Amino acid sequence: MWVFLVTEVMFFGGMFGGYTVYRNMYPEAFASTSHFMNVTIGAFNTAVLIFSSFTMVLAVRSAQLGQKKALIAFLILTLILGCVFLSLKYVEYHEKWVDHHIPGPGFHYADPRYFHQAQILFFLYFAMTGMHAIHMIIGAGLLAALIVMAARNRFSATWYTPVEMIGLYWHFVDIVWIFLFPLLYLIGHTR
Amino acid sequence: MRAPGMTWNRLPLFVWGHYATSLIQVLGTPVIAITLVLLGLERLLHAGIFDPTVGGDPVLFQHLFWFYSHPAVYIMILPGMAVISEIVACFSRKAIFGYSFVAFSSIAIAVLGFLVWGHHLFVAGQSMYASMAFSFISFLVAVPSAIKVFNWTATMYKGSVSYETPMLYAFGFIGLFTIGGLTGLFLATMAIDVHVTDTYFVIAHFHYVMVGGMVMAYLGGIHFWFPKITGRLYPEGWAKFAALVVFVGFNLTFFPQFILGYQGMPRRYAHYPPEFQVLNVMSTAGASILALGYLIPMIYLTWAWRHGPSSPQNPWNAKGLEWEQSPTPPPTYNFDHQPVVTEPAYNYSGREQEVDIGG
Repeated sequence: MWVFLVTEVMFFGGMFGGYTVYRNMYPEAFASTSHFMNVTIGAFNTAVLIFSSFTMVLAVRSAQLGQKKALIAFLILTLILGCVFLSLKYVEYHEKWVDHHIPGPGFHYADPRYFHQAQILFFLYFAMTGMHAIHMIIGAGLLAALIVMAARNRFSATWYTPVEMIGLYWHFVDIVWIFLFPLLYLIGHTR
Repeated sequence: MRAPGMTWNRLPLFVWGHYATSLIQVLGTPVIAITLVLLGLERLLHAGIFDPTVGGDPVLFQHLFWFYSHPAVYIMILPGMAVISEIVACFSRKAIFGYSFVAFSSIAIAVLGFLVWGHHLFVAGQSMYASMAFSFISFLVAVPSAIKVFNWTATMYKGSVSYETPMLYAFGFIGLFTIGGLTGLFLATMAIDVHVTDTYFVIAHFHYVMVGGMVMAYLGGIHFWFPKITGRLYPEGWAKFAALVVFVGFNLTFFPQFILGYQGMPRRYAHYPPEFQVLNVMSTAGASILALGYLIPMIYLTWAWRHGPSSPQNPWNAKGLEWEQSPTPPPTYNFDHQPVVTEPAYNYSGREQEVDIGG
């Protein structure tokens, strides 16, 4: 799993690299876009994900102690928090759709000076948060599978490896978001 | 899962080579993956990220592309080098000279290979200072490959060399890979690259490494392990003949391309000026001969798989777990008993102690 997570770092890293280059090239344009990001939702989602990592850790701990009910409860809680995150993401994407901020033929930006550069930022926004969301959906599926396995008594204090592995995966997805949030939402918010 | 007695320093260099390869694969492949995802999204959404007409940067694409694609060529060559180590040791009846150096060279190639991608962007508008750095590191990455070539040569020195087909291919590899590698240094030199970039010189360079190098190593490996895999022997006479045909065909195909490139013929041109015709025709003729050289083994290897004479357990008298502790051909799980490692790799001299640097 660690080796896989290294590949994931390289995978997201390509997009962070692209973001770095363009932000360097178009600092004002990028700063102007962050005013259209819903910082409230973003910040709340950040808290949701961090808390879900906490519940995931508690799930792993329950597995280590052989506590089946607690394990299932914490896995379900983590899954619910993940779904909260994804629902709020949907709300944000819908906002973007209404504002015509989805890149493509329908794109429109309030400040005409920054039309192209803003489109690039939004392209990266959707690519990065979209890729992140796909990973969360996969994570949600994995959590569901873990819940079923736990209910069927597959885990014990001596063997709970899938719980640990998917815990690592979940933490990784959380960490990616922790980098995404400031880079996408908070650029122009220095006062 | 580790066989009793196995240590890092007893691993065949074949394994070291593949280990280094896997390091590159794990780190490099995700980058090309995300690059293709971004490119695909660009096409799908009709929105630009690399498109200069909408503020995008095509050079960014090149950086992302080559960040993987340069290490990719090391993914391609390291397994070939790994095979050559096995073949040279066996057919010199001698341990590989400087085992540790060859092992660490594989790792060094993997590491340095990630630091040179900018040599594909010398004329793409990259900063002169970045180009200088990439040029310098590209020179550095040639060093571990050269170490391997010197060590294989030193292995043969005062060895008991025999000229079976795998060894013929290994000789081909060592000579042709050296030419390919040296011409790589030409290309890494910025001033020369400006002249020969995007010409047939580049094509000749990488074909010397890929075909003269990797394909020769591949054919050598196929012949070396054919008896092990199939339990049968291929016809040695035909094999030697085919190796010669491949060698002649390959050089006739690609050597003229160095000259063509130097004279200015660009890559990817279907129509070229008449002054380039003679060399082009020569190259085509060579290609036909090379094709024959590939066809002959395809025929006799297929024939030998079904109708070849049975192979003894270890036809080459090679050292190595696959030859000494596994039946020929192997059972489903490769070994019918737990293999035990009791000696250093390539222990052709029969010494019991591990040998220090210098072989």
